[in-house]
Amino acid sequence: MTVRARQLVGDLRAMPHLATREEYWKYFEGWQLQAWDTDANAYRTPVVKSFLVETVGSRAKAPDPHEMLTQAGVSADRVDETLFRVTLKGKTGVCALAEAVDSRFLVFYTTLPAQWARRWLRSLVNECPWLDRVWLSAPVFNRLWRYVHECYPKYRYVRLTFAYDARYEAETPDELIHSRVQADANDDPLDQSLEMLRERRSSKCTLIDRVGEIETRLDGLRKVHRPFCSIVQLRVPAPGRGGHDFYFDGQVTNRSDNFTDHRTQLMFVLDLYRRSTEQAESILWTRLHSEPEPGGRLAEGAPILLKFEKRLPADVFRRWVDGIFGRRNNVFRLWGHPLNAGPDLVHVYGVDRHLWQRIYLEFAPDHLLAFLPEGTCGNTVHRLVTNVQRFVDPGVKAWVGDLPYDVVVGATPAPGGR
Amino acid sequence: MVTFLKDPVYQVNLMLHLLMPAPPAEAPIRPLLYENGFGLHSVERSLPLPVRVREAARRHSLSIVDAPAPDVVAHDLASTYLVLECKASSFGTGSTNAHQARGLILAAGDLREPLGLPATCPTPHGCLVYLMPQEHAEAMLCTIAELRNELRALALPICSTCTFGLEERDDGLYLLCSNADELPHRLASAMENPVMIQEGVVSRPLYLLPVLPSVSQGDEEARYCRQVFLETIWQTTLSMAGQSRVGAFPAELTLSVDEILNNATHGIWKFWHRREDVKYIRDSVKLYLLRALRGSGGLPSERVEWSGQRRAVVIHLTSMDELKVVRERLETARPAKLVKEHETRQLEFDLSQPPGPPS
Repeated sequence: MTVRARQLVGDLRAMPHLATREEYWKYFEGWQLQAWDTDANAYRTPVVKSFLVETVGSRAKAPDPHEMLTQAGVSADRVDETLFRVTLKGKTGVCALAEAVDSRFLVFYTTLPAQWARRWLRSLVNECPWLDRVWLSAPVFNRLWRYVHECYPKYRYVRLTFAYDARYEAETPDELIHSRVQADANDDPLDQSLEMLRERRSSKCTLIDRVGEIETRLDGLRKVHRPFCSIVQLRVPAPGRGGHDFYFDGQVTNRSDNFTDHRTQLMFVLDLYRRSTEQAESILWTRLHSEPEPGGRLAEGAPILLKFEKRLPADVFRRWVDGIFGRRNNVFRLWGHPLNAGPDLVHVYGVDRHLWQRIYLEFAPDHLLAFLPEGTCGNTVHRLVTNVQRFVDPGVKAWVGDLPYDVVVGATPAPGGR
Repeated sequence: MVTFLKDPVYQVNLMLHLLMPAPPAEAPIRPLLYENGFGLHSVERSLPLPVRVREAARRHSLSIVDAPAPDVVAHDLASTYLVLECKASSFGTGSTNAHQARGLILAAGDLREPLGLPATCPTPHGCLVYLMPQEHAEAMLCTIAELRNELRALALPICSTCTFGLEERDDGLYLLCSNADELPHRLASAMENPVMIQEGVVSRPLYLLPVLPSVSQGDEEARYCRQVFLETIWQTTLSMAGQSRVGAFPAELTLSVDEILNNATHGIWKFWHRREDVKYIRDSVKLYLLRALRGSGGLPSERVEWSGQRRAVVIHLTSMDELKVVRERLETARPAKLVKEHETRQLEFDLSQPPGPPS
């Protein structure tokens, strides 16, 4: 490690106060060498974590990034026109940089430890209605995977993580535990203690293999185990060693020694994401009038439909709805009052906590239907698909209007060249 | 057997879902009209008849509505217009509904002037469709056939007519068309036989329009629609307060009752004419806002004012924290509860007087 890098780093908690964008980029490149970890009392190699954040939809006007960050409860001062140093209120150390990529996206770069960084970003997004994460759903990852497959040599190693957490399934019910304990009263005590564990389904699996190997096996794996449909992380290889780990919630960890390439990959993914989101918006906001009608008109849009592979059991369905609307800071960022519209049918005339947009929702054991009035940010579509795939049904299929979501995000070609 | 099939608000919302772009096999309501090339043109839009038609009708002592407003108008790329009117049951030629029916038959007979199309364009094909429970569809067909013959005899322009009947069966909800030959060929073929539009238990769809002006509903449906309407008012208010951008403090946040209602009804509010309805609904929204924002945990009463002139609640804010309080109060305030508490005193409200703090 160079003397300069050691001087710049200081410790793992805060970033230095540098004057220009170039200095920060050099700092991130140098940061990859080594840094002094005060907790571990040793040199370690921390990494840059980037967080992709969406602001407003294509037709809405976002507030100035400075205003947004202030509303989110942090201080921001300019490095240049689009780059800001972010400090926590009442603190002096720079905890992150915020880059306004355009009027739609912000990227936060930080060297905070991953756990802290995630917690910090979660509170930032929860505090500020103008911000939402970039949600990389499994079909978006499939599109990214296509890019990796087509553009990288077959011998490069990639890393794919699949995860499904049956969050709304019941844990082992009390009566079952009780009856098993009674029945096994005379058996091995070790077995009895195992029976008392409360468990539910959860799958997480990481594949690290060559591009060519994964490509040939992925479809087969998905046929035998549905959670393989739910990609939550993909490492895009870097030009040198390592790569860039993209996570489902917009976090991107630079595991390469090249920050410039890291940023290039971010811009590529944001561009893909922008195009698919804007296409979703153009479908959702389709107006059937060429001109505003003088009569009573409906500012209509196409619905989003998420169809589950299997009908949800009644208890899971109820727990899912209660889990969303019983907690204000739920992962779906939805809020409203569930109304029973029929047996196993719940309607919510609610709001999306990102941008406080209105949203109409129909929950049923076999589908989720959402209607987004004009002006809604298309990011909502990605958030719904990502979280349903992770927590409700890994094999969920989605449509934006009558167009499959896979087509909207470019994971599969459009039917009939649409 | 569900009772809401004859409810006009349910029927209008069902029509909207039939016109939505959605995957036909997977959507909870099969978008039958969209599948066959139709899209939504307008809702509750008035179709004023050409003056010469009105004059001719007067000359022959016909009772007609001069500017009928059908519930829904749908159209396709071939300039075919479906003028859809929802009814709980059929009616006879002597009924007041027949005045509107004559107006609709005449308007759809030549839609160029009623829709403001160029006089030089070819006459679009208009078809008047009455939607109702299937058991009333045949009687309705007879009535509109009689009305059509009456107008044809007077050499007035008339349109095609048919009925869509809703029928609940063991396996789902079906749509049946009587007189399908009058429809454009593609739709006529699709509706030759009864079409299942909702599989399984018949239930209400999401209501994009929970209220319509001047419709009569049964108690149960009126209660349900009112509940949905209050929820849409809640979501609209929260959305407006949430999206308000306040740069510097002190600041004023204005929540206009008419703007809330207009957004909550997708613009239908402007066309509400019954004064007692308008006053009642405005009072309910005003009451909801004041009760939600004032009181313990909220802002002091003097900071949340009612402006009778602007018909708006004006909130005086001194800091970002107070704006957060406003949002949090609205997030947790359920309008159904807050309005119900004072429902019996609704009509005692006087909009010209600033209200006191809630008890």
